[in-house]
Amino acid sequence: MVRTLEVAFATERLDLADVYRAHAPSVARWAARLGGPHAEIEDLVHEVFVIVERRLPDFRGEAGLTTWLYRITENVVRHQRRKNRLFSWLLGDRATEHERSEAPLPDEALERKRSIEQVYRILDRMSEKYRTVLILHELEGLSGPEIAELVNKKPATVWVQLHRARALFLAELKKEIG
Amino acid sequence: MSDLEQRANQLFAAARELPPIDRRMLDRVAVRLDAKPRRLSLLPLAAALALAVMVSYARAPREESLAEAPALLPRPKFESKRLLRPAPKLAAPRARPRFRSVVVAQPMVVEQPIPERAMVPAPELVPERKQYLPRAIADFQSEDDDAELRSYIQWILVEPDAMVCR
Repeated sequence: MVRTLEVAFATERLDLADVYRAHAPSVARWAARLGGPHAEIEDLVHEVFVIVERRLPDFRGEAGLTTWLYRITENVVRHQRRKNRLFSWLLGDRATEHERSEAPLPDEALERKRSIEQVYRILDRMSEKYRTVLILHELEGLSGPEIAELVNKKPATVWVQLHRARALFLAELKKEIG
Repeated sequence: MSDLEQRANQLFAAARELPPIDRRMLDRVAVRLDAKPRRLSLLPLAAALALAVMVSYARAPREESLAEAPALLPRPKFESKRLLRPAPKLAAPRARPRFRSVVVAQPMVVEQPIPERAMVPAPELVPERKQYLPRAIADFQSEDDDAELRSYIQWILVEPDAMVCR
């Protein structure tokens, strides 16, 4: 599929369906990672590909297609998180009430769910750049150069940001544990 | 590795286990993308809006020109009726005296006759002091301190302890 896309890109016949088939799982994974446990993945993926469809004719290939898609995904998730923060500020915590009203989970799953929520609670208190590199490195398992390529930064910058992000995470975790 | 870092790694490991991507969810998104109404071009919308504005402008009642303002008639000069009446004579009230003298009844004083003093007999000279009398008279003529000299003479004449009691 990627080969087909490369050929299509080379001949300037990039189609949304092809892009979707090749990259929708990656976009969904990024959206899930960046959005956290309360993100509506389906809506995020849909929003990303609506933008992709609109901007695909203007895509010149200056950055890689993966990088381009990742940037769109990151912007969409950031926009959605801002909106959620605004709604939760306006309406209290009603936005996440449906999560709490689910049937009780087994202990192990409940513990895992709490761990994930704790991780994202701490991540949400960090600035966007530290949050992003920490998610991509610790959760997505990408290396420094891979992250650098994805976020279009130098590898040294990414390593510095990772180091600071990890220190911040530990400091916030220490505050939570007390 | 500290306990804190171990705990952080545990949390990251728990969060790393992402549930597999739901293929059916991706299919639903694909259907939504296909069914998405294409974005309307702004040109027909702008044309419709312009048409509506033109129609409403054409149907709007024309604004009539303003009528001429009525000419102002000359008004009679205002004359105050109050000023026509004779002014009352103004007379200031009599000024009240600022201070009033208060007469206090004085008790009648009846003069009493001053009783005559009993005649005091002339003092008698103390015999043994007679010798000092001429000197005292000489001092009386030369000294200025009358009180001291007087008591001295009195001592000579009468009182044995005049100097003490004075």
